[in-house]
Amino acid sequence: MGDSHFGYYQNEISNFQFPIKSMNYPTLHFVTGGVSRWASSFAASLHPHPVRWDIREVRIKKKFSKPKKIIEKIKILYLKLALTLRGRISDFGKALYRFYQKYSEVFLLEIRKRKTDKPITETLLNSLKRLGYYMRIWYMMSKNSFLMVLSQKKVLLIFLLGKVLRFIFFMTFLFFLVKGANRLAGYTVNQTIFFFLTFMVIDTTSQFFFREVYRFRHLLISGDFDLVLTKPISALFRVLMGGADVIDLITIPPLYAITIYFGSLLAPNAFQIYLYFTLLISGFLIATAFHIIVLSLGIITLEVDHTIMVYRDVTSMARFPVDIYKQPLRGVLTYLLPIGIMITLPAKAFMGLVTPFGIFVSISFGILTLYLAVRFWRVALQRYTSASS
Amino acid sequence: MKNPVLKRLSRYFAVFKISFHQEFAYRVSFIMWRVRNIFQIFIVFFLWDTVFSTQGRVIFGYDRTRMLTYVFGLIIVRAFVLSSRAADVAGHVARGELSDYLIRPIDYFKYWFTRDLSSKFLNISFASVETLVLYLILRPPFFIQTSPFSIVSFILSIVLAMLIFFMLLFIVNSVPFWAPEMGWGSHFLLTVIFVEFLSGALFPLDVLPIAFQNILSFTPFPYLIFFPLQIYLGKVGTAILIKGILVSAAWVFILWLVMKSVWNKGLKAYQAYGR
Repeated sequence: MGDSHFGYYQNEISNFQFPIKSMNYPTLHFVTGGVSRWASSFAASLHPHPVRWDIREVRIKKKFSKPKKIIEKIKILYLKLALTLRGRISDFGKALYRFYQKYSEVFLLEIRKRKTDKPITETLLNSLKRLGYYMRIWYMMSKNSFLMVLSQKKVLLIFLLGKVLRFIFFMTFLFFLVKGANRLAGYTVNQTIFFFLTFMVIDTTSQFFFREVYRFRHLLISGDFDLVLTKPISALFRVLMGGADVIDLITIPPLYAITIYFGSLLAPNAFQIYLYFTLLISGFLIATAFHIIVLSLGIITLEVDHTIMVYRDVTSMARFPVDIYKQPLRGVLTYLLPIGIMITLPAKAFMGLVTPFGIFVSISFGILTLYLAVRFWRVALQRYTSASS
Repeated sequence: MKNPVLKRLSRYFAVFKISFHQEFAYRVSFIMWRVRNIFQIFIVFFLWDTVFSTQGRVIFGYDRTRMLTYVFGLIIVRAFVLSSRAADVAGHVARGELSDYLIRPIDYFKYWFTRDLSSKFLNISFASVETLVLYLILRPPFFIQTSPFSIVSFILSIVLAMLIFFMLLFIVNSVPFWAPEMGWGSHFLLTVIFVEFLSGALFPLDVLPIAFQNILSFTPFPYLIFFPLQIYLGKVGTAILIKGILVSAAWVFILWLVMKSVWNKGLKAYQAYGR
């Protein structure tokens, strides 16, 4: 590490009372009660020479709540020590590095403990504040997005007309197809239409929220994603939900109304309706995970437009119940590309055709895919090169 | 090259070659487009395979063999008819790039038709391989037309369908002359909605009630995909076949007139925005 780099850190750590007062009796100033006692004995035991360590306090500001920041501060501490003592005391650096490793772990434990010590009401309140903060941002970004689309009313009308016509054409086709064939894979006309409507509910709702994904490539290739990363909000939130689609917003209320109407024709009981909504949420989690994966792949490959369209094509296979596909394709669509779980399963639950195992699998898949997608996003983010900026 | 006809042809042959190479410049786009086509075929194939799962079943006038042949025929006919580059005309008009082409010694319509042919050639090459691979994977029963009259009529109907689609695209892509921001919207409405649903590219139009089919037969859309495939499957009698070919030819003529008229009016309204 060069001196200039270190100089930067020096400014950063000016709040530390540091370092050694005397070379014979190096004194480290620490504050953390029990930790300092532990650290003192630990450091003494590490050093082979009879050097007295007086570790009293570490002045790390309490406001540093993120463990990573703390680690950075401790790294700086170590670097400054190592540079100050370089060449004066043999193997001091090594010992101190071991000390740093051990110390940071203990310190993190302390922080976690302190966090859990907080009253649950305070934690909840903080979470709600954070949620309110993000909702305000989402509202602001959505308003901007709507204004942009509404400024071109003719274009809005054309796309709206297109979406409505596509929906009507497909419903007509489904109706006459299943009516003519009597049943489709054992499902009646209303049931088949309900599968399609469930697909539309998940597809349209996720498009409404995640339309910004379709614009992500531009952010990447223009280098504007750098600006997103510097903002004090989650970059994933910004690129995933930064531009809600007003056209979908217009189509959502009639779509939900039609779904409720066709659902009522299937005469479900209260438990089936409850299951439907539960699995629908699970389906949304999977849809969210898919969009995050597309974004992550976009960072790695710079390819978004086609990936998202392939996602759309794959999910469109669930416009019909996945029962129409033969094995092994059905298995692939159910478990590997879980569109069966995402779309077919909620509709089946509504018809009372799902076992408790199916419900368990659906919810587990929803949570697992979302977790993996977020992990993948983090990995992808580390590979972001900012090449175009 | 002294012969002026050959000289003119050589220009368009050069356009064909350049356009063909340009398709390879965006390999990922092209491959993804083909992958998406395969997905569509998968959906339609399994849908109809399920409907015809009972042996000897006949629905909407199709048996299992004819219906699955229709699905496979879709890959080839779509590649012939719906592969096109003329969708880029809207961009040329909206961005003012049309000016560059107006001063060149080539006919703008022929230029884009040549580019369309280049795109069709590439797509048909890939579609043939895909059909073969899908056939080997799915092993569907396949109907082979042996009547020379039907085969010739099938080819003729495809040629007419290509012309109809080209002109429809050109007319729709002329919209930016008057509303530059609406190029993609109007294209979306034509290709993604009307052509996809009303041409038989997603399902055979026989599924719809007779009244719907009669109304549709007065539009150019069924003559793009549905009618050629009906001829191949031998589902139309000679009288209906000749009538269909004549209606297709009439549509080519009408659309040609409309395209010329719209284009000439458009050129008068053209202001070369962005230049």
